[in-house]
Amino acid sequence: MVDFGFGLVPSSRINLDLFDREKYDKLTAIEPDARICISCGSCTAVCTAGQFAHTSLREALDDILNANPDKALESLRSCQLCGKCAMVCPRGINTRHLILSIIKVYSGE
Amino acid sequence: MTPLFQILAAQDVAPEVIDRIPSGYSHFVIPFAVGITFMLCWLLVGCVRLLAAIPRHDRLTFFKSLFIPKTIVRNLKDLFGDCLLHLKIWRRKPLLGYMHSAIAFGWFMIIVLGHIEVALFVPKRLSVTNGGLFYPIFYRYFVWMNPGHTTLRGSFFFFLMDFFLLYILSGIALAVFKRFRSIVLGMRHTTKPSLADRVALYSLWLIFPLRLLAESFTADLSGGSFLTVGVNRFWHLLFGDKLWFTPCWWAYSISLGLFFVAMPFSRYMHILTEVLWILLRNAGIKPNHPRKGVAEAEIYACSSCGLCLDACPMNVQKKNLKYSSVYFIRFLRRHNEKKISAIADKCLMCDKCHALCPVGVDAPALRRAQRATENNSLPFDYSCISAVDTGLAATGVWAPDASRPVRVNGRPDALPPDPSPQESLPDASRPVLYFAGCMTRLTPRIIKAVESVFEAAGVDYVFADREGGMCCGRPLMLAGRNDAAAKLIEANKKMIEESGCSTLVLSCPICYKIFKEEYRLEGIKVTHYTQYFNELIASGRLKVEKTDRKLVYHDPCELGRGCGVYFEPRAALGKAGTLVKASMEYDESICCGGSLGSLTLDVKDRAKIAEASLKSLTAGSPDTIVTACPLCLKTFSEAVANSGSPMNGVAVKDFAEVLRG
Amino acid sequence: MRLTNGITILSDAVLVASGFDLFDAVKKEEYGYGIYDQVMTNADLEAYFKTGSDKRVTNPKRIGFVHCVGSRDEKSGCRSCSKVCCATAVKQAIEVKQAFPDSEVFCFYMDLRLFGRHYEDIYLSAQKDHGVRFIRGRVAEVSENHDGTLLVKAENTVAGKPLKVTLDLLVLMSGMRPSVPGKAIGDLLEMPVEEDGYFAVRNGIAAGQRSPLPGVFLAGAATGPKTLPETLADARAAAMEIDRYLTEVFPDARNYKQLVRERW
Repeated sequence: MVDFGFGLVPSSRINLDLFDREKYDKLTAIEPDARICISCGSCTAVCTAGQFAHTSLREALDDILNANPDKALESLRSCQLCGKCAMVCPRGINTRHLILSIIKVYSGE
Repeated sequence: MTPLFQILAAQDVAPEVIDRIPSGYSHFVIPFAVGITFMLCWLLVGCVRLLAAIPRHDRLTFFKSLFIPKTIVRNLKDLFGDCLLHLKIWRRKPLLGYMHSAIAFGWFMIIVLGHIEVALFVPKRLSVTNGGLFYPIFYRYFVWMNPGHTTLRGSFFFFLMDFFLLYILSGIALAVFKRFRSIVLGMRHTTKPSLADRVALYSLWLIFPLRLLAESFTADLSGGSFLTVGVNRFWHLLFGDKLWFTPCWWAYSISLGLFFVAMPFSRYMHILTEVLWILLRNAGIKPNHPRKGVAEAEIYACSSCGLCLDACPMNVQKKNLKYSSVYFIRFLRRHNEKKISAIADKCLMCDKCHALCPVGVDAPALRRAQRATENNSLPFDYSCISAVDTGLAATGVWAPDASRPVRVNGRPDALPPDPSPQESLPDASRPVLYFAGCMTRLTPRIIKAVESVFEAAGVDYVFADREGGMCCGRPLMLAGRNDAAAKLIEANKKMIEESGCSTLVLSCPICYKIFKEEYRLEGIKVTHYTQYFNELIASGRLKVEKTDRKLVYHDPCELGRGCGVYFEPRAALGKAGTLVKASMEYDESICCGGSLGSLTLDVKDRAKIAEASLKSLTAGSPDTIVTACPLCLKTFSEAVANSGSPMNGVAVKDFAEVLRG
Repeated sequence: MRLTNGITILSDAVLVASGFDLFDAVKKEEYGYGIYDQVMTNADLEAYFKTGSDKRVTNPKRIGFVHCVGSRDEKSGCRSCSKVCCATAVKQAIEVKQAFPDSEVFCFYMDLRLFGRHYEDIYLSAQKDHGVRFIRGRVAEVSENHDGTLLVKAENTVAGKPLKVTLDLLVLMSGMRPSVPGKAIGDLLEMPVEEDGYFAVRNGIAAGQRSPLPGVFLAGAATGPKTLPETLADARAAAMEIDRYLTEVFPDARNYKQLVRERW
């Protein structure tokens, strides 16, 4: 077969084949609210830490589902757990526990 | 008149008491002796291990505290008040207080009086080599009263012993009754006893009736008073002249022995361990681990009385009973890691269980320590904040100019340079700094009302976080992330100190608690707006119009139980309307359910708590519920709105709003 | 049945068409309705279009529409979508744009739910003819500037960045809530209510006009958020159902109970 070399280019495309189902199940087991986000962005809009550095729970959840947990952790590392996001979330997500759980599950190893 | 003790001493002429059994020993004491020896050894080893696990400097503080006169007085007061008389329970639930104090204080008195009797009549038996371990306990078995020579002194002790035995028996009767109908004693929920608890409990129930039985059987030999002699007559009536009393003493000893063997594994270890905890507590030593050192003293000081069950706001739903402090401590004792962690995360940290605990076991602090074991080490990165806070003073963002928005969030582009150097300002003209906090940004009416009060009172203030600020760090601490919180504290502290303000006013109790306790702001008065506005009213700077509104004040957890601020908000509100009572207030106040303390409680459970809290608040049919916390305000507003019918038109308002009419 | 004017009517069938209440936007405190001067609701704006006067509307340059106020929001006690607000917002955005042609109009939405005939055309027209800007992100925090303008914070979730914008006027698209007076009537009749606060319909959604109580019929927003055409259709259907009930089931007084059992 001819190798055209395309395989070497790191794709910027989301690759759902890389999604870590096991870890995600672990996350949803300790915080089931991880499943119910509707990506409205309220959490990110009010975020206290977001004034200083990129912080977004919505994006972190997205990144996890898009098989990019490292980026998710990056979106949460400045979080100050102030709880504003929990106050505005229209789905009533337990955001603070969700954030802690994501960090716990995905920053291990 | 001759004092009583002289009469008592003068009586010492004829041999009143004769050693009935010269050896001072009988086989029946074995169960008791084995039991108590086992328990005491266990206690001794435990104490040594515990003290060894406390950090060195804490241990030194502890030993030193035992010699500070003020602490000694406090220790004695607490040991009598908390361990024996249970004054804290008395105050809340008299019947329950009577029950607990009857068993504790009555038993204590019987042991003390028993020893005094031995000391007075057969002093040689007090030494350990001569049966001092058991002799005073079974004193009545070993002696024979010289008939006709019973003195006033002897009768006095007979009476006291019988009196206290009756006192205990009444307590035991209540305790047995409580097992079936606890509500009569003021407890909706009681603790589910473990196996060891049951063994100890039933033997405890048996000890005193058996003692009565044993002593009444020997009362014609060893003497007694109204109770034992009376019962003794009855036995004679029933069984004739000769009473076979040894089995009773055996049974009494066995029940005691069984109790002491079960004690270390049951909740009853608290009887002795709470002494250690109270000493440690009064020495001011705080736990830094959920299981080791001081925490262990706390864990074993818990008597599993179950008062925290009714106290816990989560327990409006029966399914949440398992998250109560009493079970948290039980699982800590058993090292049940999985359950410990789940229970620790659920708690609202409203601190009510701590406030109402008869021995002041700080379960919320243990829960925070437990959370820290999991959460403190999680990675975080606040480098952006340290990049922000440098040079803010130089840009003059903390200028004492109320008319200009003040920024702290590192976007100095919009800031005009401030010409007035802060350092040269004298103290009196140093402005007041108002810090609203994160939550308050979602309850803009608080900000509006606070600013309006400042303006009405002519206060020269600076709104620190008008355009947003950092979190105070308390939510992180509540989640057990102490290291991360320290970073925020450091950054905030620097900014506030550089602002040159004289007073820091906070409208959020969550912020207030941490600013007051952890920030150590030199030369800056940290005050909650309820306190500050109350001062303004008292000094006449703020005029409040009295209306005929019926107000009820909700004590936010972090402000009331957290910081002990109960008086000022009520004093100020009393000037603005008529205060009515809630069914639970002050340290009994029920959390609104919105607390940041809980990590895992879901929206539905929180709504149930809000409902219960509203029910308590509306007991006096007020037309306005007043609170002094953005979280409570939001939670209650939503709860009232979602309750279908808007709760007889009751309004939810912020403290500052009410002051403005 | 006794009416408020004292007249008593004996009736064989009752149609409950108690409608809905507008969500009280004061309850979404973070949007500042009743606190900030320049915040109004969809109903206020509609009233302005009718009367032409509202002190909040003084030639605004930048106007924001907040979708889903009190709808799809657990915190407001309402999980469901109010169905009509998206279409209303787009309609009102166009009208605002027509009234103030040099203004900028932003619609902050979570999801745009305009389905049915012609609705997509309105959406298209708003974009193409009127230049209304649609931003996918829920407004989460509003604060007031010193000059009375509003600082609105949301996240542009498509760009993945938090945004802020200064607006002269903010319009809250208040959603539908079960009618409180309607609930009182329901309580009189002991009509079952579902978790969302609307009246329960017999057999779920299939028998749309019958309540679980024989003889009591339902129409319109009493059974959940409805659009105007749906309400009209409901009304016609209810009239038909009641007619059938009165002619087929009820007159046979002897077998009434059995017939009701069989046919209700």
